[in-house]
Amino acid sequence: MHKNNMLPGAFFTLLGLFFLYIIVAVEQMQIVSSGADGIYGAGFFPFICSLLIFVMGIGLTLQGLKQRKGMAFSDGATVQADPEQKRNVRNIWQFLAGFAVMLIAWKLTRQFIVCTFLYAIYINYLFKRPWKFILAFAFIITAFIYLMFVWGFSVQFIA
Amino acid sequence: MTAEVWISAFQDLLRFDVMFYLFIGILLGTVIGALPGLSATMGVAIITPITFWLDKTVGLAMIMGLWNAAVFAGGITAILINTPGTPASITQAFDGYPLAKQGKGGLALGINVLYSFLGGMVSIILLILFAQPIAKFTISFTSPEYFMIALFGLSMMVAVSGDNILKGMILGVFGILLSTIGIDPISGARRMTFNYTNLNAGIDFIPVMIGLFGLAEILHQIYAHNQENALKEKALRSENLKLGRILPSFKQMKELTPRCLLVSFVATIIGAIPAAGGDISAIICWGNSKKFSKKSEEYGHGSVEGLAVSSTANNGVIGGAMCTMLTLGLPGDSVTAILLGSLMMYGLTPGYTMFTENAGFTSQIFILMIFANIGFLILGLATAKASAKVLNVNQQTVWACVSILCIVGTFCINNRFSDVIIMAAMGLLGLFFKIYDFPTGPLVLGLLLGSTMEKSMRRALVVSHGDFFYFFQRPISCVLFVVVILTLFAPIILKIKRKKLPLSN
Repeated sequence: MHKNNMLPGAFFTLLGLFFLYIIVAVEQMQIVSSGADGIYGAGFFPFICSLLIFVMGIGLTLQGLKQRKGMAFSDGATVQADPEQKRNVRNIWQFLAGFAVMLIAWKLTRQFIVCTFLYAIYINYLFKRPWKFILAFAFIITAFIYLMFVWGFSVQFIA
Repeated sequence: MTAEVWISAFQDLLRFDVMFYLFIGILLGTVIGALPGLSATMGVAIITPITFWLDKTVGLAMIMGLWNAAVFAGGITAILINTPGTPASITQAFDGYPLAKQGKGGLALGINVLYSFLGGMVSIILLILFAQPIAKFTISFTSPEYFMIALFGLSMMVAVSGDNILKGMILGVFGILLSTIGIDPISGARRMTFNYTNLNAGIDFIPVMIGLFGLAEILHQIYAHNQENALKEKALRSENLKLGRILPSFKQMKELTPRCLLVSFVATIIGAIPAAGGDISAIICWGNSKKFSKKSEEYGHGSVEGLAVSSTANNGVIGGAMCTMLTLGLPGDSVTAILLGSLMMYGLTPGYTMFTENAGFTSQIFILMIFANIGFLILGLATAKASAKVLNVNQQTVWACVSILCIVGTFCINNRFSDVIIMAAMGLLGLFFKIYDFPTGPLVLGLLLGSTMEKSMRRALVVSHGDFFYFFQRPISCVLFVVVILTLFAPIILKIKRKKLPLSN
């Protein structure tokens, strides 16, 4: 399990910076109160939050740097990926690819039931289930969604 | 709440559809709680959008049934295969599994059902007795107090978020930042919508929950899957364990009940603390019960007392968590965080109005919780041995089912594809957070409480003409601020002191 905080620290530093840029430069939101009425602008709270995220992100990155140099600050350590871990990461990518393709296909074709059926087949194939099970599962879950949501609740799955 | 309100609420609930969906909820909760990898939070998160298509009372019945049953059912796998079905069942594995190995699996399952019921019922009774007086206290609250209450809730969540408080704080603030996306409620300006009209109303809470607790959990299980452990679990499941009798003897019940009654009280109080859920309650109660027990050497080696205490403690938080949520608008645990979001979607605001204008609905909630407890007691005892069959479901099947239900459940909220995209994005972020040990609780709470915090803060500043010291001039607000500071910084100071101790020695 990766516990080194450099990557997440850098992520949040950039995230904080991104939102600060959006608030100050792009949307040019009003931050401070323009008069003695005490009414702070729409940008006040987001600005404070983004600034805090940016500062804490830097803190986390520094924590990660110290971890890397082996200083006694945190107990994190990066674990080398073993073959099973590599297989798991590959499975994640394939899972996400299937998920993304399913959503794109649904958006383009508007055929949710068909896309769900094919997605169910793909996911079970990915996890090496037997073909009888794959087909039975795909039919059952698609039928369940159709009967309960499309027919029962009249949900129109139009993306 | 008067007797007429209670009687009217009770009569409204005696309908076939309410009882039917309550039973469905209990059944689903038993399955979800028993399956390792699925939790009560995930189950409630996925089922909640579906309940919006049902009558309000019927939907609530289903959620209550699922929640109460899932918490108790997490003990089934903890007892039979040493794998807690939900985080709150961790301590049930300490004594339940050794009992199962001794051939007393049936007794362990029976104790789990009975004492989960006891914990749940006592906490609901305490909820009914104390919720209204606590809510009445909040009548005097104005904007500064609401801001500080929200900050207090967030600080508690951060403080219990594990070793790295900085990670908890970052996610808490990130959650608050996400809550500011959309149209500013005071000035009407668009904030960070990137010209997408769907973002004008802000980021919906339910897709975030489903993404973080549903999809992210599945992705993480795929990521952390260990074939060797999976085969060991499969071998344990197929092992022919003699479950034996289910019900404990009258003598055993007489010995266990007084202690468990006390544990119920303690668990309810722990549940009322924001962010302290069943897992924290079970660990605290089990540890302290062991300290004060005459048979402490049996704890961890098949102690019936230890199992009874654990079972009582994890269901005992339910009433406390609901109390804090209904009265202060602060979720006591992750499930009540989802319920809070659901109440807001129904147009209800936690606080004293829940016991005045919405007294009927609130009393229905309480009665449904009682029915749910009775329901899982009957179902649990009747199907204790059969419920073990649930363990035969393959983990990959669960992954496929949940990933599809996450899409379906998310789309059902508002019939918007953008919600599904948000859910998927949060699922990816949730995986990232889990890999790098970020607690997701603060993010959820920040998203929920962010708008309350901002509105309260800006209103208070309008009243005080921009003077921030106004927050410290009001006694309750000032006290809460001190508690927030202590909650956030005391663990850091203690940690630094502990690190210095070996050096000074």
